[in-house]
Amino acid sequence: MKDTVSSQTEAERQGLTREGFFADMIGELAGALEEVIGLEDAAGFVAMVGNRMGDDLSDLYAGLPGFPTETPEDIGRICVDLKEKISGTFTLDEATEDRLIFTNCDCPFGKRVEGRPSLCMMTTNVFGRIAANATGYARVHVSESIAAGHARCRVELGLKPDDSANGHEFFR
Amino acid sequence: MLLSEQGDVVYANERAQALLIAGPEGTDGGLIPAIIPQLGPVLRSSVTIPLRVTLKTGSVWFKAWRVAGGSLGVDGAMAMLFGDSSGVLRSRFMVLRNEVANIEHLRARDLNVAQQLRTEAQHLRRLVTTDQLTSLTTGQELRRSVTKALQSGTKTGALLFADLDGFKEINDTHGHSAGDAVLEQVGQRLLEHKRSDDVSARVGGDEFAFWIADVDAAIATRIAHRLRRQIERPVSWRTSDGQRTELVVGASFGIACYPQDGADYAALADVADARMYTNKRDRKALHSHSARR
Repeated sequence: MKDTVSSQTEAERQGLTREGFFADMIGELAGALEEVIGLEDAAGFVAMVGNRMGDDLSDLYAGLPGFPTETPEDIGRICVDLKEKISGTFTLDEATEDRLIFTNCDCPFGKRVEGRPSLCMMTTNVFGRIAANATGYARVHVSESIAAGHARCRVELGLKPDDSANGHEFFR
Repeated sequence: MLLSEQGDVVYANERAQALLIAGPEGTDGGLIPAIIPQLGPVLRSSVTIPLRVTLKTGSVWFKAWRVAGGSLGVDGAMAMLFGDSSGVLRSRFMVLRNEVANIEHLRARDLNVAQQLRTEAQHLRRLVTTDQLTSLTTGQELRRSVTKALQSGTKTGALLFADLDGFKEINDTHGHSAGDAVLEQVGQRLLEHKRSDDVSARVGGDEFAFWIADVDAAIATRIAHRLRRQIERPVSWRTSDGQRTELVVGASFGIACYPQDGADYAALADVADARMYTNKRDRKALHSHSARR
Protein backbone atom coordinates (compact mmCIF):
# COMPACT_ATOMS: atom_id res chain seq x y z
CA MET A 1 0.00 0.00 0.00
CA LYS A 2 1.27 3.39 -0.86
CA ASP A 3 2.62 5.28 2.12
CA THR A 4 0.63 8.54 1.98
CA VAL A 5 2.91 10.31 4.45
CA SER A 6 6.09 9.69 2.49
CA SER A 7 4.36 10.53 -0.79
CA GLN A 8 3.81 14.08 0.41
CA THR A 9 6.35 16.57 -0.84
CA GLU A 10 8.27 18.65 1.64
CA ALA A 11 6.31 21.70 0.45
CA GLU A 12 3.04 19.98 1.27
CA ARG A 13 4.31 19.01 4.68
CA GLN A 14 5.05 22.68 5.24
CA GLY A 15 1.40 23.49 4.45
CA LEU A 16 1.73 24.46 0.79
CA THR A 17 -1.17 22.97 -1.14
CA ARG A 18 -3.08 24.01 -4.22
CA GLU A 19 -6.13 24.90 -2.19
CA GLY A 20 -4.12 26.79 0.36
CA PHE A 21 -2.30 28.71 -2.34
CA PHE A 22 -5.47 29.87 -4.05
CA ALA A 23 -7.15 30.66 -0.75
CA ASP A 24 -4.13 32.77 0.16
CA MET A 25 -4.36 34.54 -3.17
CA ILE A 26 -8.02 35.38 -2.68
CA GLY A 27 -7.33 36.62 0.82
CA GLU A 28 -4.48 38.82 -0.37
CA LEU A 29 -6.54 40.20 -3.25
CA ALA A 30 -9.33 41.12 -0.87
CA GLY A 31 -6.85 42.69 1.52
CA ALA A 32 -5.22 44.67 -1.27
CA LEU A 33 -8.60 45.91 -2.49
CA GLU A 34 -9.63 46.98 1.00
CA GLU A 35 -6.35 48.77 1.48
CA VAL A 36 -6.40 50.54 -1.88
CA ILE A 37 -10.04 51.50 -2.36
CA GLY A 38 -11.58 51.02 1.09
CA LEU A 39 -13.80 48.40 2.62
CA GLU A 40 -17.06 49.61 1.14
CA ASP A 41 -15.82 49.69 -2.43
CA ALA A 42 -13.91 46.45 -2.01
CA ALA A 43 -17.10 44.79 -0.83
CA GLY A 44 -18.75 46.03 -4.01
CA PHE A 45 -16.15 44.32 -6.18
CA VAL A 46 -16.41 41.11 -4.19
CA ALA A 47 -20.18 41.35 -4.53
CA MET A 48 -19.86 41.52 -8.33
CA VAL A 49 -17.82 38.35 -8.29
CA GLY A 50 -20.21 36.66 -5.85
CA ASN A 51 -23.17 37.60 -8.01
CA ARG A 52 -21.66 36.02 -11.11
CA MET A 53 -20.61 32.92 -9.24
CA GLY A 54 -24.07 32.70 -7.69
CA ASP A 55 -25.58 32.65 -11.18
CA ASP A 56 -23.18 29.91 -12.26
CA LEU A 57 -23.87 27.85 -9.15
CA SER A 58 -27.63 28.28 -9.58
CA ASP A 59 -27.33 26.83 -13.05
CA LEU A 60 -25.11 24.04 -11.75
CA TYR A 61 -27.51 22.91 -9.03
CA ALA A 62 -30.50 23.33 -11.35
CA GLY A 63 -28.99 20.61 -13.50
CA LEU A 64 -28.21 18.21 -10.64
CA PRO A 65 -30.73 15.53 -9.67
CA GLY A 66 -31.53 15.51 -5.99
CA PHE A 67 -31.49 19.28 -5.57
CA PRO A 68 -34.97 20.67 -6.08
CA THR A 69 -35.78 24.25 -5.18
CA GLU A 70 -39.42 23.89 -4.20
CA THR A 71 -39.25 24.50 -0.47
CA PRO A 72 -37.17 26.62 1.89
CA GLU A 73 -35.49 23.43 3.10
CA ASP A 74 -34.49 22.69 -0.49
CA ILE A 75 -32.81 26.11 -0.75
CA GLY A 76 -31.11 25.53 2.57
CA ARG A 77 -29.86 22.13 1.48
CA ILE A 78 -28.25 23.61 -1.62
CA CYS A 79 -26.49 26.30 0.41
CA VAL A 80 -25.19 23.79 2.97
CA ASP A 81 -24.07 21.39 0.25
CA LEU A 82 -22.28 24.16 -1.57
CA LYS A 83 -20.36 25.15 1.55
CA GLU A 84 -19.47 21.53 2.30
CA LYS A 85 -18.07 21.12 -1.20
CA ILE A 86 -15.64 23.97 -0.55
CA SER A 87 -14.66 22.82 2.95
CA GLY A 88 -16.97 25.05 4.94
CA THR A 89 -19.21 23.66 7.68
CA PHE A 90 -22.47 25.58 7.55
CA THR A 91 -25.44 24.22 9.43
CA LEU A 92 -29.08 25.03 8.68
CA ASP A 93 -30.41 26.04 12.08
CA GLU A 94 -33.85 27.27 11.06
CA ALA A 95 -36.00 26.89 7.96
CA THR A 96 -39.45 28.53 7.66
CA GLU A 97 -41.50 30.01 4.84
CA ASP A 98 -40.12 33.40 5.81
CA ARG A 99 -36.46 32.72 6.37
CA LEU A 100 -33.49 30.43 6.71
CA ILE A 101 -30.76 30.80 9.31
CA PHE A 102 -27.31 29.30 8.85
CA THR A 103 -24.41 29.17 11.28
CA ASN A 104 -20.87 27.90 11.01
CA CYS A 105 -17.66 27.83 13.00
CA ASP A 106 -15.32 27.23 10.11
CA CYS A 107 -14.95 29.47 7.07
CA PRO A 108 -13.89 28.06 3.70
CA PHE A 109 -11.24 30.78 3.58
CA GLY A 110 -9.90 29.69 6.93
CA LYS A 111 -7.84 32.17 8.92
CA ARG A 112 -7.38 34.31 5.82
CA VAL A 113 -10.83 35.79 6.30
CA GLU A 114 -9.93 37.39 9.62
CA GLY A 115 -9.82 41.14 9.22
CA ARG A 116 -11.18 40.94 5.67
CA PRO A 117 -14.94 41.46 5.99
CA SER A 118 -15.28 42.20 2.27
CA LEU A 119 -15.04 38.46 1.70
CA CYS A 120 -18.35 38.01 3.50
CA MET A 121 -19.96 39.51 0.41
CA MET A 122 -19.14 36.26 -1.36
CA THR A 123 -21.48 34.33 0.92
CA THR A 124 -24.03 37.14 0.85
CA ASN A 125 -24.17 37.27 -2.92
CA VAL A 126 -23.88 33.56 -3.62
CA PHE A 127 -26.66 32.65 -1.14
CA GLY A 128 -28.77 35.62 -2.24
CA ARG A 129 -28.39 34.85 -5.93
CA ILE A 130 -29.15 31.14 -5.55
CA ALA A 131 -32.24 31.83 -3.45
CA ALA A 132 -33.49 34.73 -5.61
CA ASN A 133 -33.06 32.78 -8.83
CA ALA A 134 -35.10 29.97 -7.33
CA THR A 135 -37.87 31.92 -5.61
CA GLY A 136 -37.75 35.41 -7.15
CA TYR A 137 -36.61 37.21 -4.02
CA ALA A 138 -34.03 36.89 -1.22
CA ARG A 139 -32.60 39.08 1.46
CA VAL A 140 -29.27 38.22 3.14
CA HIS A 141 -27.97 39.61 6.39
CA VAL A 142 -24.71 38.42 7.94
CA SER A 143 -25.32 39.19 11.61
CA GLU A 144 -22.12 37.58 12.87
CA SER A 145 -18.90 36.81 11.02
CA ILE A 146 -15.52 35.33 11.79
CA ALA A 147 -14.09 38.05 9.54
CA ALA A 148 -15.40 40.70 11.93
CA GLY A 149 -14.01 38.90 14.95
CA HIS A 150 -16.99 36.84 16.05
CA ALA A 151 -16.64 33.26 17.08
CA ARG A 152 -18.92 32.07 14.29
CA CYS A 153 -20.77 33.18 11.17
CA ARG A 154 -24.55 33.63 11.31
CA VAL A 155 -26.36 34.24 8.03
CA GLU A 156 -30.05 35.14 7.84
CA LEU A 157 -31.60 34.44 4.43
CA GLY A 158 -35.03 36.10 4.16
CA LEU A 159 -37.40 34.64 1.59
CA LYS A 160 -40.09 37.30 1.74
CA PRO A 161 -39.81 41.09 1.53
CA ASP A 162 -39.74 42.77 4.90
CA ASP A 163 -39.14 46.51 5.11
CA SER A 164 -38.14 46.26 8.75
CA ALA A 165 -35.46 43.66 8.17
CA ASN A 166 -31.75 44.31 7.56
CA GLY A 167 -29.77 42.91 4.69
CA HIS A 168 -29.08 43.08 0.99
CA GLU A 169 -31.92 42.22 -1.35
CA PHE A 170 -31.74 40.04 -4.42
CA PHE A 171 -34.21 39.68 -7.28
CA ARG A 172 -34.48 37.24 -10.11
CA MET B 1 -29.01 60.21 -10.69
CA LEU B 2 -31.88 57.78 -10.78
CA LEU B 3 -32.58 55.72 -13.88
CA SER B 4 -35.57 53.53 -14.64
CA GLU B 5 -35.16 49.93 -15.73
CA GLN B 6 -35.28 51.20 -19.31
CA GLY B 7 -32.59 53.79 -18.72
CA ASP B 8 -34.80 56.85 -18.55
CA VAL B 9 -33.50 59.57 -16.27
CA VAL B 10 -35.97 59.83 -13.39
CA TYR B 11 -33.93 62.29 -11.40
CA ALA B 12 -30.57 64.00 -11.82
CA ASN B 13 -28.95 66.39 -9.38
CA GLU B 14 -27.01 69.44 -10.53
CA ARG B 15 -23.77 67.58 -11.03
CA ALA B 16 -25.48 64.78 -12.91
CA GLN B 17 -27.27 67.30 -15.08
CA ALA B 18 -23.94 68.79 -15.98
CA LEU B 19 -22.76 65.35 -17.02
CA LEU B 20 -25.82 64.82 -19.13
CA ILE B 21 -25.08 67.87 -21.27
CA ALA B 22 -21.31 67.59 -21.23
CA GLY B 23 -21.16 65.91 -24.60
CA PRO B 24 -20.97 67.52 -28.06
CA GLU B 25 -23.75 70.01 -28.77
CA GLY B 26 -25.14 69.61 -25.29
CA THR B 27 -25.73 65.88 -25.52
CA ASP B 28 -24.76 63.34 -22.86
CA GLY B 29 -21.80 62.23 -24.98
CA GLY B 30 -23.04 58.65 -24.95
CA LEU B 31 -23.23 58.41 -21.14
CA ILE B 32 -26.74 56.92 -20.80
CA PRO B 33 -26.34 54.48 -23.72
CA ALA B 34 -23.12 53.30 -22.10
CA ILE B 35 -24.82 52.82 -18.73
CA ILE B 36 -27.88 50.91 -19.92
CA PRO B 37 -26.09 47.59 -20.74
CA GLN B 38 -24.73 47.56 -17.20
CA LEU B 39 -28.04 48.14 -15.47
CA GLY B 40 -28.94 44.44 -15.28
CA PRO B 41 -26.65 43.46 -12.40
CA VAL B 42 -27.49 46.72 -10.62
CA LEU B 43 -31.23 46.12 -10.76
CA ARG B 44 -30.97 42.54 -9.51
CA SER B 45 -29.58 43.44 -6.11
CA SER B 46 -29.56 46.16 -3.51
CA VAL B 47 -25.84 45.58 -3.03
CA THR B 48 -23.78 48.61 -4.02
CA ILE B 49 -21.47 47.68 -6.86
CA PRO B 50 -18.94 49.71 -8.82
CA LEU B 51 -19.91 50.78 -12.30
CA ARG B 52 -17.50 52.24 -14.78
CA VAL B 53 -18.54 53.93 -17.98
CA THR B 54 -15.93 54.56 -20.61
CA LEU B 55 -16.52 57.53 -22.87
CA LYS B 56 -14.32 59.23 -25.43
CA THR B 57 -13.46 61.85 -22.84
CA GLY B 58 -12.42 59.26 -20.27
CA SER B 59 -13.87 56.97 -17.63
CA VAL B 60 -16.67 57.89 -15.26
CA TRP B 61 -17.12 55.91 -12.07
CA PHE B 62 -20.33 55.37 -10.13
CA LYS B 63 -21.49 53.39 -7.18
CA ALA B 64 -24.76 51.81 -8.20
CA TRP B 65 -27.55 49.98 -6.45
CA ARG B 66 -31.20 49.06 -6.83
CA VAL B 67 -33.93 51.25 -5.42
CA ALA B 68 -37.61 50.37 -5.21
CA GLY B 69 -39.55 52.34 -7.82
CA GLY B 70 -42.59 52.73 -5.61
CA SER B 71 -40.83 55.37 -3.54
CA LEU B 72 -41.11 57.78 -6.46
CA GLY B 73 -44.23 56.42 -8.03
CA VAL B 74 -42.31 54.58 -10.72
CA ASP B 75 -43.28 51.12 -11.88
CA GLY B 76 -40.59 48.51 -11.35
CA ALA B 77 -37.20 49.18 -9.88
CA MET B 78 -34.75 52.01 -10.40
CA ALA B 79 -31.01 52.21 -10.44
CA MET B 80 -29.33 54.78 -8.22
CA LEU B 81 -26.02 55.96 -9.65
CA PHE B 82 -23.81 57.81 -7.21
CA GLY B 83 -20.81 59.50 -8.75
CA ASP B 84 -18.03 58.99 -6.27
CA SER B 85 -14.50 59.15 -7.56
CA SER B 86 -12.93 58.96 -4.13
CA GLY B 87 -12.26 55.26 -4.50
CA VAL B 88 -10.67 55.86 -7.88
CA LEU B 89 -8.60 58.70 -6.51
CA ARG B 90 -7.52 56.52 -3.60
CA SER B 91 -6.53 53.72 -5.92
CA ARG B 92 -4.63 56.10 -8.21
CA PHE B 93 -2.85 57.52 -5.20
CA MET B 94 -1.90 54.04 -4.05
CA VAL B 95 -0.68 53.17 -7.53
CA LEU B 96 1.41 56.33 -7.59
CA ARG B 97 2.73 55.60 -4.13
CA ASN B 98 3.70 52.10 -5.17
CA GLU B 99 5.31 53.44 -8.32
CA VAL B 100 7.29 55.96 -6.29
CA ALA B 101 8.37 53.20 -3.91
CA ASN B 102 9.37 51.08 -6.88
CA ILE B 103 11.31 53.96 -8.42
CA GLU B 104 13.06 54.58 -5.10
CA HIS B 105 13.93 50.91 -4.89
CA LEU B 106 15.27 50.91 -8.44
CA ARG B 107 17.19 54.11 -7.74
CA ALA B 108 18.75 52.60 -4.62
CA ARG B 109 19.62 49.52 -6.60
CA ASP B 110 21.11 51.64 -9.40
CA LEU B 111 23.09 53.68 -6.87
CA ASN B 112 24.37 50.46 -5.40
CA VAL B 113 25.29 49.19 -8.83
CA ALA B 114 26.92 52.52 -9.66
CA GLN B 115 28.96 52.36 -6.45
CA GLN B 116 29.99 48.79 -7.24
CA LEU B 117 30.99 49.88 -10.74
CA ARG B 118 32.98 52.82 -9.33
CA THR B 119 34.75 50.50 -6.92
CA GLU B 120 35.44 48.05 -9.70
CA ALA B 121 36.67 50.84 -11.96
CA GLN B 122 39.00 52.07 -9.23
CA HIS B 123 40.29 48.55 -8.75
CA LEU B 124 40.85 48.12 -12.47
CA ARG B 125 42.54 51.49 -12.67
CA ARG B 126 44.88 50.49 -9.86
CA LEU B 127 45.65 47.25 -11.68
CA VAL B 128 46.45 49.10 -14.88
CA THR B 129 48.47 51.92 -13.34
CA THR B 130 50.32 49.97 -10.67
CA ASP B 131 53.23 47.60 -10.98
CA GLN B 132 52.06 44.40 -9.29
CA LEU B 133 55.43 43.39 -7.84
CA THR B 134 56.53 46.67 -6.31
CA SER B 135 53.21 48.54 -5.96
CA LEU B 136 54.88 51.51 -7.65
CA THR B 137 53.28 53.37 -10.52
CA THR B 138 53.80 52.07 -14.06
CA GLY B 139 55.91 53.93 -16.63
CA GLN B 140 52.84 54.83 -18.66
CA GLU B 141 51.11 56.33 -15.65
CA LEU B 142 54.29 58.26 -14.77
CA ARG B 143 54.33 59.83 -18.24
CA ARG B 144 50.64 60.77 -17.85
CA SER B 145 51.19 62.27 -14.39
CA VAL B 146 54.21 64.33 -15.47
CA THR B 147 52.42 65.59 -18.59
CA LYS B 148 49.42 66.60 -16.50
CA ALA B 149 51.66 68.38 -13.98
CA LEU B 150 53.44 70.34 -16.69
CA GLN B 151 50.15 71.31 -18.35
CA SER B 152 48.69 72.48 -15.07
CA GLY B 153 51.38 75.14 -14.70
CA THR B 154 54.09 73.58 -12.59
CA LYS B 155 57.01 76.00 -12.48
CA THR B 156 59.81 73.58 -11.61
CA GLY B 157 60.42 69.90 -11.09
CA ALA B 158 62.85 67.07 -11.64
CA LEU B 159 62.63 63.72 -13.40
CA LEU B 160 64.98 61.14 -11.87
CA PHE B 161 65.87 57.89 -13.53
CA ALA B 162 67.53 55.11 -11.50
CA ASP B 163 69.04 51.79 -12.58
CA LEU B 164 70.04 49.07 -10.12
CA ASP B 165 73.70 48.03 -10.16
CA GLY B 166 74.46 44.34 -9.60
CA PHE B 167 70.88 43.22 -10.05
CA LYS B 168 71.69 40.83 -12.89
CA GLU B 169 74.32 39.13 -10.73
CA ILE B 170 71.77 38.50 -7.99
CA ASN B 171 69.43 36.89 -10.47
CA ASP B 172 72.25 34.79 -11.91
CA THR B 173 73.51 33.72 -8.48
CA HIS B 174 70.32 33.21 -6.50
CA GLY B 175 67.58 33.00 -9.10
CA HIS B 176 64.68 35.22 -10.06
CA SER B 177 62.89 34.78 -6.75
CA ALA B 178 65.81 36.60 -5.13
CA GLY B 179 65.64 39.30 -7.75
CA ASP B 180 61.91 39.70 -7.16
CA ALA B 181 62.51 39.98 -3.40
CA VAL B 182 64.99 42.80 -4.02
CA LEU B 183 62.59 44.65 -6.30
CA GLU B 184 59.71 44.21 -3.87
CA GLN B 185 61.61 45.52 -0.85
CA VAL B 186 63.19 48.37 -2.84
CA GLY B 187 59.76 49.33 -4.08
CA GLN B 188 58.40 49.38 -0.55
CA ARG B 189 61.19 51.68 0.62
CA LEU B 190 60.68 54.04 -2.28
CA LEU B 191 56.99 54.29 -1.48
CA GLU B 192 57.72 55.06 2.18
CA HIS B 193 60.00 57.93 1.20
CA LYS B 194 57.71 59.51 -1.35
CA ARG B 195 55.98 62.85 -0.84
CA SER B 196 52.30 62.99 -1.64
CA ASP B 197 52.76 64.98 -4.87
CA ASP B 198 55.68 62.92 -6.10
CA VAL B 199 55.38 59.93 -8.40
CA SER B 200 57.55 56.85 -8.00
CA ALA B 201 57.48 54.34 -10.84
CA ARG B 202 59.01 51.12 -12.01
CA VAL B 203 59.76 51.67 -15.71
CA GLY B 204 61.76 48.57 -16.55
CA GLY B 205 63.04 45.28 -15.15
CA ASP B 206 65.36 46.96 -12.65
CA GLU B 207 64.77 50.58 -13.64
CA PHE B 208 62.91 53.18 -11.64
CA ALA B 209 61.85 56.76 -12.23
CA PHE B 210 60.67 59.58 -10.02
CA TRP B 211 58.90 62.86 -10.63
CA ILE B 212 59.66 65.39 -7.92
CA ALA B 213 57.52 68.53 -8.14
CA ASP B 214 58.58 72.07 -7.18
CA VAL B 215 62.30 71.41 -6.72
CA ASP B 216 65.48 72.79 -8.26
CA ALA B 217 68.59 70.86 -9.27
CA ALA B 218 70.22 71.08 -5.84
CA ILE B 219 67.27 69.68 -4.00
CA ALA B 220 66.74 67.04 -6.66
CA THR B 221 70.33 65.93 -6.19
CA ARG B 222 69.87 65.63 -2.42
CA ILE B 223 66.73 63.62 -2.96
CA ALA B 224 68.57 61.33 -5.36
CA HIS B 225 71.25 60.68 -2.71
CA ARG B 226 68.56 59.86 -0.15
CA LEU B 227 66.84 57.48 -2.51
CA ARG B 228 70.15 55.82 -3.32
CA ARG B 229 70.77 55.20 0.39
CA GLN B 230 67.39 53.51 0.67
CA ILE B 231 67.98 51.35 -2.38
CA GLU B 232 71.45 50.29 -1.27
CA ARG B 233 70.32 49.10 2.18
CA PRO B 234 70.71 45.31 2.37
CA VAL B 235 67.69 43.26 1.47
CA SER B 236 67.00 40.27 3.70
CA TRP B 237 66.18 37.08 1.79
CA ARG B 238 65.79 33.42 2.72
CA THR B 239 67.28 30.88 0.31
CA SER B 240 65.49 27.71 -0.74
CA ASP B 241 67.38 25.70 1.89
CA GLY B 242 66.26 28.06 4.62
CA GLN B 243 69.46 30.08 4.91
CA ARG B 244 69.01 33.80 5.49
CA THR B 245 71.23 36.05 3.45
CA GLU B 246 71.52 39.71 2.62
CA LEU B 247 71.31 40.93 -0.94
CA VAL B 248 72.80 44.28 -1.86
CA VAL B 249 72.37 46.36 -5.00
CA GLY B 250 73.63 49.80 -5.95
CA ALA B 251 71.81 52.53 -7.88
CA SER B 252 72.91 54.83 -10.69
CA PHE B 253 70.89 58.02 -11.07
CA GLY B 254 70.21 60.53 -13.83
CA ILE B 255 68.44 63.83 -13.14
CA ALA B 256 66.65 66.11 -15.63
CA CYS B 257 65.26 69.40 -14.40
CA TYR B 258 62.21 71.21 -15.69
CA PRO B 259 62.17 73.54 -17.53
CA GLN B 260 65.93 73.74 -18.11
CA ASP B 261 66.43 70.25 -19.54
CA GLY B 262 63.19 69.90 -21.47
CA ALA B 263 59.68 71.19 -21.93
CA ASP B 264 57.85 67.87 -21.96
CA TYR B 265 58.15 64.37 -20.58
CA ALA B 266 59.90 62.90 -23.63
CA ALA B 267 62.64 65.52 -23.60
CA LEU B 268 63.17 65.23 -19.84
CA ALA B 269 63.26 61.43 -20.05
CA ASP B 270 65.91 61.48 -22.75
CA VAL B 271 68.14 63.71 -20.63
CA ALA B 272 67.59 61.77 -17.43
CA ASP B 273 68.24 58.48 -19.19
CA ALA B 274 71.46 59.69 -20.73
CA ARG B 275 72.74 61.07 -17.42
CA MET B 276 71.84 57.85 -15.69
CA TYR B 277 73.99 55.85 -18.06
CA THR B 278 76.81 58.36 -17.59
CA ASN B 279 76.53 57.89 -13.85
CA LYS B 280 76.48 54.13 -14.20
CA ARG B 281 79.62 54.21 -16.35
CA ASP B 282 81.38 56.53 -13.92
CA ARG B 283 80.46 54.38 -10.92
CA LYS B 284 81.64 51.22 -12.68
CA ALA B 285 84.95 52.86 -13.52
CA LEU B 286 85.34 54.06 -9.94
CA HIS B 287 84.54 50.60 -8.61
CA SER B 288 87.08 48.99 -10.95
CA HIS B 289 89.72 51.51 -9.94
CA SER B 290 89.03 50.81 -6.25
CA ALA B 291 89.20 47.05 -6.77
CA ARG B 292 92.60 47.31 -8.50
CA ARG B 293 93.96 49.22 -5.56
